[in-house]
Amino acid sequence: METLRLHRLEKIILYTLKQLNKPSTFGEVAEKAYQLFSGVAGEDAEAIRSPSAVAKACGWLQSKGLVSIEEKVVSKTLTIGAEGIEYARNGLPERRLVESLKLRGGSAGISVLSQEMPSLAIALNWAKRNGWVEIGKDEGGETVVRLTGEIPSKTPAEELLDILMLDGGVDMKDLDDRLRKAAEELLKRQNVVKLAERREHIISLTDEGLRIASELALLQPAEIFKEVTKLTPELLLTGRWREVTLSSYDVKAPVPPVFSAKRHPLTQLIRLVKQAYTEMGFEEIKGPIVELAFWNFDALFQPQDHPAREMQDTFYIDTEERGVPPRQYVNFVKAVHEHGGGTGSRGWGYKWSEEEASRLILRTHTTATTIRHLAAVRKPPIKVFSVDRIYRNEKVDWKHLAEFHQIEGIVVDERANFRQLMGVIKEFYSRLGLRQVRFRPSYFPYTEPSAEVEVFLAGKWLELGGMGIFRPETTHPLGVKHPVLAWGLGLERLAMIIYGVEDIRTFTRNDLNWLRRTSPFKAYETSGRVSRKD
Amino acid sequence: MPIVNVKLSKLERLLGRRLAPEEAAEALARLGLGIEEITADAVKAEYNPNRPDFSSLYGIARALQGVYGVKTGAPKYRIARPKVIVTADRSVEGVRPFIVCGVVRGVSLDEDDLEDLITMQEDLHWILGRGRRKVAIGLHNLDSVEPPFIYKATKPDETPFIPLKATAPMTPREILERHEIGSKYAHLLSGYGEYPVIVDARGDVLSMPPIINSSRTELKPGVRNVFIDVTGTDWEKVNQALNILVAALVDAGGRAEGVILRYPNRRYVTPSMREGRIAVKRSYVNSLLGLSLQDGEIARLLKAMRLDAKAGKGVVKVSYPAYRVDIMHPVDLVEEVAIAYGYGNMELEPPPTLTFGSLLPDTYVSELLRDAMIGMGYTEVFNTLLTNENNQYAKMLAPEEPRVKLLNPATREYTMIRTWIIPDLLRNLADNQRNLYPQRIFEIGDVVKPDLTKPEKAVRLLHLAAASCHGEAGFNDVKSLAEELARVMELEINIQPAEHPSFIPGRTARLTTAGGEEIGLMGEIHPQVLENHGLPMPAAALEIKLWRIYQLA
Repeated sequence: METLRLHRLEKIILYTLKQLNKPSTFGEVAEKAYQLFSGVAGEDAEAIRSPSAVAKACGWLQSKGLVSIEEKVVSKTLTIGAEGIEYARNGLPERRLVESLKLRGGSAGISVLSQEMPSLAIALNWAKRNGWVEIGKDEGGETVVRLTGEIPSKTPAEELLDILMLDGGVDMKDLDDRLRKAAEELLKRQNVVKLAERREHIISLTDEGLRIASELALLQPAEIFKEVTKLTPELLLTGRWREVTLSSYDVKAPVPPVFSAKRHPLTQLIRLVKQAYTEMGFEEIKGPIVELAFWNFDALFQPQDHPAREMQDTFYIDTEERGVPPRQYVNFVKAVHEHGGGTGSRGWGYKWSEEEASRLILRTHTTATTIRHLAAVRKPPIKVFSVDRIYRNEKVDWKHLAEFHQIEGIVVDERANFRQLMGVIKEFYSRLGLRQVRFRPSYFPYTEPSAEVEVFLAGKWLELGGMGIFRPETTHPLGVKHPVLAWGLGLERLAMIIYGVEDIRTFTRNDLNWLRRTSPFKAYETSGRVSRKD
Repeated sequence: MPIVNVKLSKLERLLGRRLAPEEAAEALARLGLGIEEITADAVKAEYNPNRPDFSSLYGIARALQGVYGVKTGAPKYRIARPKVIVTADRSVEGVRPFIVCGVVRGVSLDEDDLEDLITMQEDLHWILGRGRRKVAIGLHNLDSVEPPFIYKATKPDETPFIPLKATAPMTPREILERHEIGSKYAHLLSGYGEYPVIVDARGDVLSMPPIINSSRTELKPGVRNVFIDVTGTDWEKVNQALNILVAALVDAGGRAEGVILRYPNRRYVTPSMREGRIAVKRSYVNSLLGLSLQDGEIARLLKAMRLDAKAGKGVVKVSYPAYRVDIMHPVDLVEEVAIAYGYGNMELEPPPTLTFGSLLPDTYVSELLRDAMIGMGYTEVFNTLLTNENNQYAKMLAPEEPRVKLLNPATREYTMIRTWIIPDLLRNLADNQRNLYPQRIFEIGDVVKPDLTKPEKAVRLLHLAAASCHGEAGFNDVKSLAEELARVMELEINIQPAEHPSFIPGRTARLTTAGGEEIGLMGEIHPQVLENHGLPMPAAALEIKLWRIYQLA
């Protein structure tokens, strides 16, 4: 039956309108509905009585074509505005102009008047319209204003303002023609008088509405009220839910949004990267952010005048303190820098300074952490990784950050070689869904051979990181005898690809709208760990 | 990184074959150059600073000749008997002790070549010279001056000459103070009472190293004979720069000629162009690369890289040209073999040894607490550790703490590393006013504090911080949160009234363990702090020191 698709309140209104048997206002409907249903509505009775609830339900009924709503202006009340009060007290501008001209013998120059009256333009406009003044030139050529014609001592407008001041407001119906015209004139001026309209809505049943209402009329109010919107604990406890019908909802109606709290997309990706590494048999390591130049540069065979060590590239720490390079390695590192230290290398051929190696910096790569670990462990097999923060003293813009992440890893194995280095990187990226990779020669002071890795994405090769086998000048001073495969890959650039982000600053901007909308599936689908059915 | 502009027409002439721009770019990339731009007649490529010989097209061409088999083995450079003498006076010893020189005759350089030569010179100044400090190069028209030359130090107000980009004579002092280039490099001579100059037999100045040349000797199109001076503070590097320049000018069609250098106690002839010698074992090459090459194959690959190589029994002996300043150790030859073999031609394989993966306790603790926070409806944010005192303390009304400060930050935004996280969360909330409320956010991350017991004088400490911000936000939000986190961590905590200027008095609390150790702070944010952040919405926040609870790496 058709009535089933109506909300309980809608049915109540149709029922009531049928009972009223005439077009009625919201108030009338509400009142009548209360009479009819208060007996059966219990706690909901007050809700039925509210005209605004009725108005809302009438809106639904109107859109379903069951009632028509006619809007009628019932009354118009004229009240005085802020300017009006001012005019009532001190006179209309045109009146003040006339008074001023009278004082000056019937005429005055514009320049004099404009000094006296701030609202001269308005005054002149209305005084001219009333035929009280005329504008001409005096002998000297200046524009002058002269009184002319009959000026009544009180205009209808002024009378009306007096009435409004006294009574506060009048119904337009109560004004005679003369005052009504004055009211219309005053309405054209700003903030002098205001017209408040009271409207009424008259609801009547349409033919279709009448048909349904007639069906409903066959029922008792209690039967109609049986329908409830909410299943309550009380209904369940009392078992009364058996006697009621749960109303139907418009399931397409909009509802307020809820957001699941989420991980940050970057930590989401970091988790995935860590997972890929552990799957490949790597152990996680961690090291200091504030680092000795020794571990960040010297142990990695970067000469002390290397441009990367300069202030414009590396953050130095502002402190009186000096770091303490590890005693057991200092002399070996010094020897390697100065003359190769028995590694078969020429060395850099300069005087190495322990003072310089003791300086404290923010690490520029996580390789500093790797080399610390290498010095501590030495013996193969070693397979370790870290995904952690690194620092460059750079101006931040859409493609550069001063603080970002490196995906670091090393493999130390008696049989480790360059093909395995490329192999392990290819495997790593394929676990993130990037299956096309290629390798190009590159240069780092601490690796040889060196390479950079590029991945193919969206029609382009993107450079994502560097790698190589640690030079003997790097491993020898630490007592490491076997090849060390090492790499450092960018995390943020990878994240930009995965999340489709153009501006690298997006990750630390923490716009909640973006955080709430970024699907946690993104990284897992890009990596091919989760895929959809076609 | 420095850039070389490879003009294809010149390159084709040197290679004796046609080369499409894409083909040239691919060949350069395989040599390790980064392609910046490809146009119809040129390829712009970045080269690595270990190969300063790539600063000229001629250096690039030498390498490509090997790749295409046009020429293999080390290029040979004949140095004609010296005619020009340069005397290094004792007076330069304390200022800029070394000078080496060379002459190249019979060159024919047009405007384009001269421009390339200047770019090359500037790149060498940067790569080998570290901004001209260690190495500075002067190129002169030999025919405009009269040998022999003297390299000596002069008083600042003596020896005036017309420098490049000037029209009237200037004294060295005037050049350092007023000349555009002079003032740019004046710092290199500051603190010295005398400045180095090179003067000819007539007393005319060639150059005032490392600042500027005389306009008299300027290279102009049509110049035939070039005199090169390289001065500096590093004997090895000045020789490297000279050898690289001479090689390029000879490849451009010139004939190299030696110069006699008379030092107070010694005499040299430069450029030496002396080849270096080094040997590499076959087993070393094969084990590092994972290949099984024969001695002969290794030698052939090295020759393709423009090195002379002779295969012995398990050892390949190599002579490398003087411009290959990057070869320090046999391992450098291993890379040469790898590049010649082609990285793309190697079969990839995984490392052979079975190992087992694991994560740090830090990761587990963070992950478990992330789950808990998300379960309570808090969304994770991620902030940099870099910040500034205004954000950390001033806006928070909080007292400054011992912290790691930066000596040389590029921006005022970053002057220190954070010592607590709540200020970052408040900044995040202030930035999110246009987004829907309620807003509940958290971060699990490090703060850094000075620690004199560590070799690096600082320590990373793992914290958890959270903030709740909405119309009804208050102390209870964070108290409920703290209690639930304690349950999640199975930790007995005490909540003690506390005072902290960032929070409303009477609505601030300290968290302590049953043992009395302080592990955190929470409260309703002070309205003045909210106002300082421009945030017209109540907020409460909490910060917990996880490092005091868990044993972390």
